[in-house]
Amino acid sequence: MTDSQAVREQVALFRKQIDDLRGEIAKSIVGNREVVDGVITCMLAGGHALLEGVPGLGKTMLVRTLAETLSLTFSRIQFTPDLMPADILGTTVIDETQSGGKSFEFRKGPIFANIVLADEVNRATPKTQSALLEAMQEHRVSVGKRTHVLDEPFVVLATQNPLEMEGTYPLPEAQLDRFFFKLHVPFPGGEDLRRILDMTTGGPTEARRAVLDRDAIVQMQHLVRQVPVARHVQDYAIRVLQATHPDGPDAPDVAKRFVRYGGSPRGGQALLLAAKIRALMDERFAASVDDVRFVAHAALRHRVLLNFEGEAEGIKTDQVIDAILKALPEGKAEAPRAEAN
Amino acid sequence: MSRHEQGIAQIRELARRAEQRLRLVRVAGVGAQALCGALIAAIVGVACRKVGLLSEPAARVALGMDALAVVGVLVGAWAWPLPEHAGARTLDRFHALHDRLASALVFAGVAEPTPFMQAAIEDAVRVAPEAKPRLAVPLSWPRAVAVAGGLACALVLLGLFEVRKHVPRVNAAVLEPVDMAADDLDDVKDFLKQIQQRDSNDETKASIEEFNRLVDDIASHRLDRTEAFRRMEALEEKLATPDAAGRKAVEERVEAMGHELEKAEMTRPAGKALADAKLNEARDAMQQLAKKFRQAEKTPVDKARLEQTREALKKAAEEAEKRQRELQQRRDELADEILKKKQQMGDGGSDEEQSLLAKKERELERLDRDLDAHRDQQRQLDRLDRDLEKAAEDLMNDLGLSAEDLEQSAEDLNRMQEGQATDQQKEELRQKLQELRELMRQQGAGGKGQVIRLKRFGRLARGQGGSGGNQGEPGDGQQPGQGQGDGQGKDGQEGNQGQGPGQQGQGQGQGQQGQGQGRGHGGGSGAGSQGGETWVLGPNGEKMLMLSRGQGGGSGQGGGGQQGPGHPGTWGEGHDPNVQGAATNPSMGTQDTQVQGSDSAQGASRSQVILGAAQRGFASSAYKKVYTEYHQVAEESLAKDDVPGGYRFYVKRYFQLIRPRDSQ
Repeated sequence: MTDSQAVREQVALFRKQIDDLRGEIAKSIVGNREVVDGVITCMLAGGHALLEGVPGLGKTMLVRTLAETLSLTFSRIQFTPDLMPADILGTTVIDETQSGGKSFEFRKGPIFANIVLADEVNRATPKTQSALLEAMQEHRVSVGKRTHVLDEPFVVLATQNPLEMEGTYPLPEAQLDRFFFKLHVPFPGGEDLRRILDMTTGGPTEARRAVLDRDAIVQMQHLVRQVPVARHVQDYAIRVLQATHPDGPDAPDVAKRFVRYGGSPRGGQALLLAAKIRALMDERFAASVDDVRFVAHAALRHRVLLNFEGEAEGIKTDQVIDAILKALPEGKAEAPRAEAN
Repeated sequence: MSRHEQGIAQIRELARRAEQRLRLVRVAGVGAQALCGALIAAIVGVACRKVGLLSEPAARVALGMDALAVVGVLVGAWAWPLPEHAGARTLDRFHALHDRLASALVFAGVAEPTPFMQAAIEDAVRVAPEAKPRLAVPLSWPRAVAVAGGLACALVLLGLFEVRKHVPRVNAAVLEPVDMAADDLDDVKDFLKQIQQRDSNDETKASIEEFNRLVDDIASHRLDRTEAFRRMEALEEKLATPDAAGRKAVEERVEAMGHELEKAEMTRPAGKALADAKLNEARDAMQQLAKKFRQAEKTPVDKARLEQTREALKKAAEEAEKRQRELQQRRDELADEILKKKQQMGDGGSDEEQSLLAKKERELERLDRDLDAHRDQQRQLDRLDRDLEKAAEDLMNDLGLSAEDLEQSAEDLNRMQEGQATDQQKEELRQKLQELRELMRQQGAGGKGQVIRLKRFGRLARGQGGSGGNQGEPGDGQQPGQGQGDGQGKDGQEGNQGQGPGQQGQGQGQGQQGQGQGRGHGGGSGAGSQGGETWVLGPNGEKMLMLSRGQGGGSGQGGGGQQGPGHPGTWGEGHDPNVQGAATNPSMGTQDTQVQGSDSAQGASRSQVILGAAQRGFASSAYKKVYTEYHQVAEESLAKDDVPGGYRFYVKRYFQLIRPRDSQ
């Protein structure tokens, strides 16, 4: 078997595993294909996702279902204003041994899980948010003099409610950049809503099984990193990233007028990694410009910072990205949007 | 070649074909636009050629440049580089291959491709047969081709279109007539009418006729400014009279002659009249002297007195030709000087020298004219000199012949007087002509606005709604002294002229200025305007000192020459049967007094008269009187004072504009 044949088989397996995962998730989550793919993409890229949507749209359900289908440890942290960092990271307690002696023992917090659901992350204080975000970036936790490495894969799926902003602590821009994707969870359509009602108001739902274990996921993460990117695709990703800056060479007028600061290099990394994953999901061996265009909204919308005028005018970052993609027409057709606002 | 390489080659070939089609599409698009531009330029060039703005070679060059520009653009559009792997990426986009072909070409260039790259190439080779450059890059006619076709048709039509040679239409010259105010022309006509009524010689009459024709032509708008000025200049040349110096020389000579004749007792009256420049009296005196000589033929005459008279006449005749010689001498000197100057300058000479020469030539021409005029006057004086000298010689021989000579001298003086009168008329005509020319110049400078203002002022001056005429209600003239300030009619005026003033009636001067027949108002109104202290006759013939304001139009000056005490402000009755009144006895020791009309508040003051004229027009007789007084004062001032010519004109012009009009 040649190397290329092995690659083709790996890619085919990758495609199969993803389809299986989608199928299991679909048993509990109706619709929201883009959100599900986005969450899977974050997991395969080793990143984290910020899910934004009004209450009751199944954000927590999605994360929980994902954890069940992946045979990974799962923990949920409900963020509140009085939540302390130790409540997330864990704390050291005095433990009495059988011999009667006493010793300090570290009790791990909920952060020590493969999939962590940080529910309503914007309701915690910045101090607590920082503790979470450090773990997200470093994949390890330092308590006292000891550092605890988090198990891989480690995925934080945070949610926040765009409503009820009073008493919340919006995430700072530097911490938003730690999220690989920011996914908007839209209100389901009529058909999806009917299916949701049928599924949740009838008998017991079908049991979900784990289709991927931890090793498979790690292998898939390694495979993603091997997908090549042609020079012109990489150039296109760079152009898109530069266009998010108001002083970028291809920046459209809306970016020049309403954007304070554009995407960081992490945004470029997210663009290409997500494009690679999408190519593999499509059983292709190289990322394309269309893949970059497809993931641009999810990868850049939280990395583009609007200026005061943009905030005052009610400009959405998705509008800026739309203008950028329109100004850089390197695809056959307009890329499908991951999700609607 | 391996299968892998064959696949890559196939992809490359597909990409190359796609790129060629891309170039063709670009060439078609850019070329069509360039063709449109070139066709527009060609249309402009051909149009310019058709209308003659461009020569044939230039038009051909322009068309050739257009064609070259189109070819250049086509070559450039084909040769301009395309983006990297543009053909493959176009195929990928069209066939939704997700950059498989372009990525494969990129990965094929990598020295050591990874397994994923090899898999990507194989994947591209697998889908490559699906790619169709013909479908991905369709060759279609750009829209600009239709426009270019339309422009080409337009160019062909333009080429077939024959443009006739432009011949500028000759526009007939339009006369721009001189537009002058009717009042000004009427004033000139009135003046000419007055001049015509005087005795004039044929030459003056002809000049007046020509002046009349000029005014009529201007009034009928038959003359433009140039023609009008030309005719005025011609007329002025005709009216040219000897200069003032020449006239003065003649007068001085006649005066000197008169002084000589004054020395002899017999010719003293004639000499005194000549010295005083009274040619009429001199003529009469000559005739009287001739009559005496004729009478003296029958009676002896004192030889000494005769000798004295002869000497006087001879001396008076000796001053002939002196002035003419001086003029001739000056003229000759100037002509010699000009000749020398011309010889010195030759063909060249500075501008200053040429200007000086031209000035001297003009002076020479003026001297020639003066000389001609002087000769004409000199002929008349010579004739008088000869007659006087002959009279002196004949005096000793034959008194009869001397009388004839003296009569002949009187006749010469008569002719000189007529000549002077004619010159005066010419001078007046010339002055009026100059005024007319100045008016035309001013109206030309001021434009229509000034003409309109003058016309408006003229309308006001003529009065509005015939108010002037109403004031001129004719008086019946039956009541003596009815004049009440203004409001006198034409009949009254005529009555005044017809009857004449009652001159110095009745010794005491009552009714001094009243009307003999009581018809018309007479001049009593004038006296009433005097203010201050005045001696008047009281009821009993006593003198009374009256203080008056000088108001009133002098009503009550009537009474004509009726005797008896005159009461100021009362009306006279009847009339003096002796219209002329008895001759005043100078030995009766009269004392001059003045009759002062009382202020009856029925007349208008001067200011009221002037104000009324401004409001109702200049047609009242009261205004005419006021105008006459003011005008007289102004004329006297102009004559006495050193007033610049321009101001003099404006003063005259002002009084022309406010002159009284005839009441209707």
